[in-house]
Amino acid sequence: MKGSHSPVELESVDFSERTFAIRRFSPSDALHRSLDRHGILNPPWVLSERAGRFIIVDGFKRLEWARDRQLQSVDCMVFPADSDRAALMLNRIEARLFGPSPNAAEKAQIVSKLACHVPSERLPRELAGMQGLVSHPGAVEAWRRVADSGGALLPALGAEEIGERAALEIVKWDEADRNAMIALLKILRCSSSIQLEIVERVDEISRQQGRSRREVLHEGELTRIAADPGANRRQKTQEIREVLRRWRFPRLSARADRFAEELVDASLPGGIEVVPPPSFEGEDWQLRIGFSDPEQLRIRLEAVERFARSPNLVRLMRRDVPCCRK
Amino acid sequence: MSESMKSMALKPPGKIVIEADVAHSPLAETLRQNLPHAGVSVVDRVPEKAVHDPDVLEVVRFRGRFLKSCPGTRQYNCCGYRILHFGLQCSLDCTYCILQAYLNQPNLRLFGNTDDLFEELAAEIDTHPVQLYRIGTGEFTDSLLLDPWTGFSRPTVRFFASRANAVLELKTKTDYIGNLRDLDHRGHTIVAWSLNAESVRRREEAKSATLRQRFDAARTCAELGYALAFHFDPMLEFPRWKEEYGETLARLFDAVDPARVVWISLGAFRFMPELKSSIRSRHPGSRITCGEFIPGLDGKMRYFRDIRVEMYSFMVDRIRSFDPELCAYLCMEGNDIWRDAFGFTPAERGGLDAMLDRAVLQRMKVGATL
Repeated sequence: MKGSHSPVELESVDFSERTFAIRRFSPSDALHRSLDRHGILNPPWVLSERAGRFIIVDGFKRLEWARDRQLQSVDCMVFPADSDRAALMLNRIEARLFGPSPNAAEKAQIVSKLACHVPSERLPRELAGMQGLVSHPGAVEAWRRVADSGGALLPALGAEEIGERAALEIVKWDEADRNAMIALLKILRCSSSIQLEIVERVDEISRQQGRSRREVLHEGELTRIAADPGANRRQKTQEIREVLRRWRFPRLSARADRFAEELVDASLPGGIEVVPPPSFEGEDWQLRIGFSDPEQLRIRLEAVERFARSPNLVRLMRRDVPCCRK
Repeated sequence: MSESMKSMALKPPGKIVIEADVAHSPLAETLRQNLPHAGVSVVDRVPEKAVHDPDVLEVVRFRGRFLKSCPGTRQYNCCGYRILHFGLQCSLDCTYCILQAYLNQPNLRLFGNTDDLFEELAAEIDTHPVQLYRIGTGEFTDSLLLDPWTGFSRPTVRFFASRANAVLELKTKTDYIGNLRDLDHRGHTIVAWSLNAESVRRREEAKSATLRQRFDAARTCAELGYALAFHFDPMLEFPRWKEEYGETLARLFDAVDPARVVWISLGAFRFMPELKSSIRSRHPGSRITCGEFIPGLDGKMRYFRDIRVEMYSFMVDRIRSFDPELCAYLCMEGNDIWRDAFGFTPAERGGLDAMLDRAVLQRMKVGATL
């Protein structure tokens, strides 16, 4: 596909035509500083249309910068009107992939545009050649959904306010649910693994309770934590995870809380710790004794022996099950 | 006849792919005869990574051991059951089924070299004449799902009828018991059904037989002299679980005499963590993975122990109210859960193996001379 360098009048450029656009959703300050200092170094790509009009293929920001500076014309790589648009899109994507790494929002748009312009039988081959885009062709549909989701998801992804894995989950939700989750994640700005945990917990709680996800997210306890001016985002994240854990595992949490209370009541001497089996599953209880010298160990072992004979230990290990046989 | 009393009617396989090695085996011939409209193709080897086609039945030569041990883990008490591996996969498509995770072999598959199967079975059972074998076929597929077309239950039941030291358990969610009529089973076959709460049956086992159909089939089998067993596995926790499981038990014992029942097993839903995404994608409406699941000692996700104990205790109480002597047991649970649900551990009764052997002796009179 052949293009040729030629000056293009900016008034003949259709800035509203976004067919080839891949939005980054993040500030372009560095690009603008460079343009202000050096002008346009790499010619934008445009596609000729009938009646002397042009649509932008690559270089939206550069041409917008030129328009804002009220330049008359810009040297561009001009592709003729009969160019193969799919091939042009592939070239545009290829060029984009060799620039700064695309962010997740751009990736989603690239995958979506590829899927639109490339026949499905050729898609796996094209994707395979584009490192880091999608790991397998099966993910194409999910990324297309992200690109086409509209609303707050793509900008949040571009601004790295939400991670890829969480985005791929919440794109399956309806828009109101999704927006409620994005609003929370924007406040928390937590790691992608914690985002995913929060997304999954909310999803499972809503299924468990037969309520919408936004109803769960709009529960007073959560909104109060999210809006608390006295807590930083780490504290908020921790508190919200704790609340969700309690809602998701109410009986396990109650058991853990009771154990913690009874452990305090047992008044074990310092340096001695009783550890229940993880999630109280199985019978592998542990006793941990810390000591700094033989004498301290002897004293603590005596305390442990007294504790082993006391009702406190029995109480700690007791299981409160309604139908439990004694 | 009302709708609910009709037998279930699954669509038979429309395509049969047979490996050349077993193209003339008795099983292949029976399938050709019973499925005259199915397209039959003979191939050298069925590829390992086949594309899922629910219409396909593969018949292959199996090259491994047909007789396997129950895949129990050391952390929990196992029943010591042996599995007669005669096929793989199931088209009932229950939401919770582990077979969804067998992505490499997604199609219904039967092993055509049944002569090898019976030879191996005979060699094992006859070499240990003083050992009681409890052997079932319902681990990797449903025991009777394809039976209307394979008739495989007939030689299998006959084989066990001739062995003093073995019983066969056919485990199913169908009511395909037609081939069990007129068989001289000599009391060595247990016909077992997986049971659940009515709403779970409707939501999660939609293609399987209704509870009514299962109970009708069980009653018929009892009339034919077969021993019966029932498996409440997987039990699911949901708001009305007590009422619904209680109702299923009441209907069960209304349909069959408890004295005909050799055992009832109980197992709360548990799953490999990897299964969760399969369930989510294949059955997006199912809520079954949203319970209070914690990682078990064997790596599977299980309900938090107190929930399991509550469910088991309830069921054990109810079962005892119908028949205090009936052998109820837990599938893959630890001693602490047994103690809370039953008041004893299997070890205190000689082990779960021994408990089940005793049930066979008491209810089937098999094993007395061993």
